[in-house]
Amino acid sequence: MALFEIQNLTYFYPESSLPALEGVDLSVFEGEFLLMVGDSGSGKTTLAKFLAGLLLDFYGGKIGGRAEYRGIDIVGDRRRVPRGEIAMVFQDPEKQLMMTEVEGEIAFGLENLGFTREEMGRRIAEVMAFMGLTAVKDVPTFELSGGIKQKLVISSVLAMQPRVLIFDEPTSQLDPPSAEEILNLIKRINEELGITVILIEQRLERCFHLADRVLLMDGGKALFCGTPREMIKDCPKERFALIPPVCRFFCQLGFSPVPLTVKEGRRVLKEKLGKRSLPADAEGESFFEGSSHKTLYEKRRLMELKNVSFVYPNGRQALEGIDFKIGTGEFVAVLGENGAGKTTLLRIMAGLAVPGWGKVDFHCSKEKRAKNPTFSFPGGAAYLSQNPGDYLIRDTVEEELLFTLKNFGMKDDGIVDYLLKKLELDRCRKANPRDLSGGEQQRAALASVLVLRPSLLLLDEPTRGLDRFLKIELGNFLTGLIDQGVSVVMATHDVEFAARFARRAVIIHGGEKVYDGEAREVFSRSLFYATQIGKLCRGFAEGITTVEEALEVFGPVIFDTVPAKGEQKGRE
Amino acid sequence: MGFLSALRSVKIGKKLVFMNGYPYPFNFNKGNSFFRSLHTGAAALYLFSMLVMALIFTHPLYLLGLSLAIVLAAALAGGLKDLESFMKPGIVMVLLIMGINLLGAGSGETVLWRSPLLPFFGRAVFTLEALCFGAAMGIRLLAVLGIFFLLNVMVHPDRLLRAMSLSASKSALVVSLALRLLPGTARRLDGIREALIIRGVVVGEGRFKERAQKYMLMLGNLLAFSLEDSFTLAEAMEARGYGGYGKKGRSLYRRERIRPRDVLIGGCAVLALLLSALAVNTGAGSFSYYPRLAELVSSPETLYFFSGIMFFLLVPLFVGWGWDRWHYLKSKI
Repeated sequence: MALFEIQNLTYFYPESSLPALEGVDLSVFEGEFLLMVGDSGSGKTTLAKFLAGLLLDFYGGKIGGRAEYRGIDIVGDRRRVPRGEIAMVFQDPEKQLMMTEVEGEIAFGLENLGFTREEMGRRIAEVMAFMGLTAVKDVPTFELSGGIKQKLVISSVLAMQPRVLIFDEPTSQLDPPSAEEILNLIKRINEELGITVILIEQRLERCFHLADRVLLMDGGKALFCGTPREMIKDCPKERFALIPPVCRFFCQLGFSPVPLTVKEGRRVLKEKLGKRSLPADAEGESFFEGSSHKTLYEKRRLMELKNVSFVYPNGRQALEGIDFKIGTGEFVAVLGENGAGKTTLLRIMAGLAVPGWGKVDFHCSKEKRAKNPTFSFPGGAAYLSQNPGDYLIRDTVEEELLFTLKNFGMKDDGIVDYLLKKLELDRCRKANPRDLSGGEQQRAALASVLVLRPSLLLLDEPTRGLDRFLKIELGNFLTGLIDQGVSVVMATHDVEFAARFARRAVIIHGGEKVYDGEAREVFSRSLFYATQIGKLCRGFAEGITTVEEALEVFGPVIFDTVPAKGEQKGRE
Repeated sequence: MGFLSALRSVKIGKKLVFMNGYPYPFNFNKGNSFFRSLHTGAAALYLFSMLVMALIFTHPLYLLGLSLAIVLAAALAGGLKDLESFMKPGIVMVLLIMGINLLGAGSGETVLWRSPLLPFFGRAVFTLEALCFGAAMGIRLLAVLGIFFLLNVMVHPDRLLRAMSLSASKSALVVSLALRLLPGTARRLDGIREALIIRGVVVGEGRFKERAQKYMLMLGNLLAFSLEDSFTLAEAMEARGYGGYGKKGRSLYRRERIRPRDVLIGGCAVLALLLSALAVNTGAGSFSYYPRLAELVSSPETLYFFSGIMFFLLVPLFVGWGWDRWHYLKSKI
């Protein structure tokens, strides 16, 4: 018998005429790992909150259909579900922590369930050992890193010993190593403790292989539910981009079964290639060609940081001896773990922070510099922080853009219409920015600084919370800006996005610049910052970062060894 | 820097000196680990006895002795520098109290200076007694402030709240959440301020009306964020079983042991308190400022009680000092 049995579930948020969930049929079985995928607004979070019992109590709305949890009707009487049996972890750990003490945080859920002191002590000790939190036992929760905070949130729900654990993009705020650690923990929770896991995740390359089944949501409907390999086989064409790069690569070459991990993929690739050698020009060299970043910035220098260091008032050295030059029309990805100094670097480049040592030269403009203490002025540098919401203060999207223009004493010469159309915000120009989706909010915030026609655009984690399709749209838009001569510097953890669009990469570690060069070099050869395809191809052909490049290199060689059907499909 | 002083550092429109969106300084983690290891009850009892003394004694010797103990405790707990910044507003208040007392009291026989005839006030008389009384009251005020500072340094806020939640669990949770969210809110405020700067609004500049409008922009956005975040927080709380406890009710997790050091500190606090009560009862802890200053040590009992009280106040500090130096002591208590 299934743990959750859902039939024809339809749900409308209050005052909404469009269903957030429409005719969803789903069975979730005890101990399984269900991965929920889909675009932003596809209904994943709504379904997850419904399963966790948070939807009707918090939002109200209209609901129809049948849903049972272990035989209990959770549409009609949710309160019959024993408390603590279904727990949920959200995206941002910062917004879920209640206490300043680690033990107190874990105890919070247990206290709510009314456990005895002895029972709580035992569970806290167990869960801290399982999650590896003993070393930070005495550290105040607000001093913990993002990854540890998320671990603590997971610990606090795990201590309640739930039967079902629901995760809503638990790694979206984390750097790649921390995200990897959290996903490994989720896997352990499922495999070693037998807890049913429902995971919503955008970056599937890290978790696709972990799932027993994948549920694909679209427009509130459950489009597909099956094993990862079934999903690859039956995935609708327009949703194919959701599938992780390694699977997409092998699927397009017509392999069956499709390898799900880099390890499996490399084994298959090795078998198929055998003793065949790739053509000399395919062994990476061709992909390293192209204009080097040096020639670019020497052509027309835009900004130069000389020996820049920055120390925060609490004594933390955020940056040390940074030399960094950027020319016009460059797209630079700044990589590094959380706390490495990426944001500080962008803030210094925006003029929001003044380096304690060193110099920042902005060889920008002949335009008049406004009365702004930063480099933000018409034709200057525009900075968009990690929280686009910080920029949304007016009543309509259109007003947001006009507000910036007004502050700099500029008139609208058609830039507002142009940007609203270009960023696909035209239809919501009169809407309150706070009512928009995450992707729209981000575009509205971007538009609010782009009205100044900056020559340098500084973006901090611009893909956070965006689905694959929105990311591609954003990437294409930024590429358009690059073509117009705007330089983009982007701090990011999203290596797949950076590999696809950035041409130069800078790695910051402990406040120091440890790499500055071709993006392809980093995304194909490095250990953590390589893309999934980079990891797959390493050793076979160097410098490959995307599926398209891999198909170009391996396709002609492998087609000789795979079945004709595969060849046909691959060529399609 | 404590929570209160951290709050003060959030100057809207100016660069945030302490927070700036980055690791938040937390007093409790500093200095000697002895105080952190104390049972909340023992630490609270010690501080309570100090507070009672500050309120019942009028004798300057006792008040000075108490102040010495507070400064030593702050130094041991690693918060001497913070104590200084915490006390600055207090010192201004003390000077104000002394000034007002000097101007307004007019009592006392030892006249230091008579002012010329002033409109409304007449002739002000400055006396030594009024000056000394004002100074003693000022020291008392500083002592009380110092005790609250020590509470911030010695007792973990979560533990204090947990102790509070025995009788007022919901209020304790609200306070805990407020404390937890304070650094995040300050970071948010800084983010909004920077976003405004990027868009050409320099908060804190311009005329009063302009400045007020800019602040309102910031605060409006902050309020919107806080409402959104509070919704997420409420969801997270319910996801962890908060609310609707049923018959079993909410329990309380406390894993604090009573160790020999807690008995020692608690015992010293009780004995100091008893001696203080006796000193006040016998008149040894009292001091007569008017009409003429009494003798500082009018009877041997004054010194006996003073020595006893100081002994019981300083023993915990001595043990705390030794805690980090002598492994033997640490292993035994």
